Amino acid sequence: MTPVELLVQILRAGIDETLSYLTLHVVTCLVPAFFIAGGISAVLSDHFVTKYLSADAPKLQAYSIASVSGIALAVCSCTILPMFAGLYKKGAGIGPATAFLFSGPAINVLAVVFTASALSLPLGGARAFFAVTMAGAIGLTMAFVFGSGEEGGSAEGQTVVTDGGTVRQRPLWVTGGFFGTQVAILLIAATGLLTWAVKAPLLAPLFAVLGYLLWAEFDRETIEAWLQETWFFTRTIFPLLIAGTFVIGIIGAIAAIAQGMDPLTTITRGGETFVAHQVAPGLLTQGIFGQTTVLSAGLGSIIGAILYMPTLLEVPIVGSLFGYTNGLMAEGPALALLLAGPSLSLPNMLVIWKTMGAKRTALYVSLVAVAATMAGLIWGLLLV
Amino acid sequence: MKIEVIGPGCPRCQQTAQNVKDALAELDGIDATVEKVEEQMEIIDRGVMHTPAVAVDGEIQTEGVIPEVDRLIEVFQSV
Repeated sequence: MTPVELLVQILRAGIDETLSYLTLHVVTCLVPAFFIAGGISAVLSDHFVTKYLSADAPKLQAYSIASVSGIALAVCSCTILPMFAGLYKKGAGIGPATAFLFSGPAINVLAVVFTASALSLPLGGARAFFAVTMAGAIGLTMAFVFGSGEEGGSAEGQTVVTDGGTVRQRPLWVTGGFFGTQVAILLIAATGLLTWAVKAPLLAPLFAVLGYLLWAEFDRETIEAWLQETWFFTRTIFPLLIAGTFVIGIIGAIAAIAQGMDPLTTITRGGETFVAHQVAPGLLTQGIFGQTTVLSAGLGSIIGAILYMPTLLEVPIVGSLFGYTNGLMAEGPALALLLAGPSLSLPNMLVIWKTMGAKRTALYVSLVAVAATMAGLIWGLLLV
Repeated sequence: MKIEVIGPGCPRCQQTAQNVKDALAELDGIDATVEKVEEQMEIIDRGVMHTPAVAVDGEIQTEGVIPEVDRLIEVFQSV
C-alpha cells in the first residue's frame, strides 16, 4: 500500500467513526437534550444552589441537594467550578462543595442522555446513580477529615447584591410543563421500542402543548434566550465532539495497521462482524479492560482522572477507543472511567488546588479515584 | 468608573454586555470603561458564583441575572 493510500484509509476511518456517532438514534436523543440544557440555563435560576446550600443549611439538606443539583444546572465545568469555589468559601463548606463538584458534570442531562443512547441504557442509569451516591460519600469524607467549620470564609465573603432587578417568576405548572413536555419528547423520540409511525401521533400533542406554553406564557425575550443558549451549547460542544470522534477513528486506523489489519475491512470475531478500525484499539486494551477486576476498574478511574476530555467525549472514548460497544471493555472499568473522567482533569485540578490548597486537593483526587473504582466494581461484579 | 462584565462568554454574558452599553448610551457623557472578565480563574477569584455578573470599580453589583437597562442606569448613577 502506498503512503497516500494509507493516509486516505486513515482519514476514511476517522470520518467513518464520526458518522457512527451521528446516527439517527443518537441525534434524535441529543437534539432534545440540547434544547433542555438551553432551557435550564435560560429559564431556571441557579440561585437555588446558594439558597439551599448556605453556610447554615441543615447537613442532610446540604448533602442531598449538593449531590443532585447538577441535573438542574447547565452542562460545562465553566458553571460548576465558580459555584464550587463559592460554596466552599461562602456557602455550605467543604463537604457539600466537593459532593457538588463530583456529581455536577456527571449527571447533567446531556451526559446521561448521550451515555444511555450511544453506549447502553443501564450504563447511563448507573452513571447517574453512582455519581449521586458517590458524591455523598466523597463529601462526607472530606468534611470528616478536614472539619466543616475551618478557614472562616466570612472574612472574604464579599457582600453580593443578588437581585438584579426584577426576576420574573413563572408559575410552577408553566416551568414544569415546559421541561416536562421536552423530557417526554426526548423519551419518546429516543425509545427503540416504537416505530416512527407510532411515535409521530404521540409526539404531535406534546409539541402542541409546548407550542401553546411558549405562545401563552413566555415572552419573546425568554424564548430568544432559550434558543440562544441551546445554540451556544450546540456550538461549543458539537465541534469538539465531532473532532474528537474523528481523532478516535484515526487512532483506531493506526492501531489496526499496527496489528497488520486493513482499517476498513470487516473482521469476524466470536460470530459478530466488526470494522477493523473500530475494534483495533480495544483489542490492544482488552487484556486489561476486558474483565471487571480491581486492576481494570482502578486503571479506568486513573485514566479518567488524568485525561482531559471535552464534554461528552468520554462516551466515544469508552465506546470506541476502549471498545465497550464491541464487548472489549467490561462494565466495571467503563463505569469507573465515565465517573472519574468529567469530574477531574488537569485544568480543573488547578482550579480546585487554588481554591482548597494542596492537601485537600490531594485527598479529593484520591477519593474520586477510589470512589470511581468502587462504583465500577460494585456495578461490574454485583449488579450486571 | 470601571465597569466589568464577568462571565465565560455565554449568550447571557453577551446580552449583559449589550445592556451595559445601552445603559451607558442613555447616560450620555458618563465617564466609564467597559471590560470583559472571561478567564475562569479570574471569575472565581472575584467570588462570582453565578454568571453573568456586573462589577463597578471592583464591587459586584448584579450577579446571575441579565440586568435590565433601567436597573443598570440606576446602579451606574448611584455609584
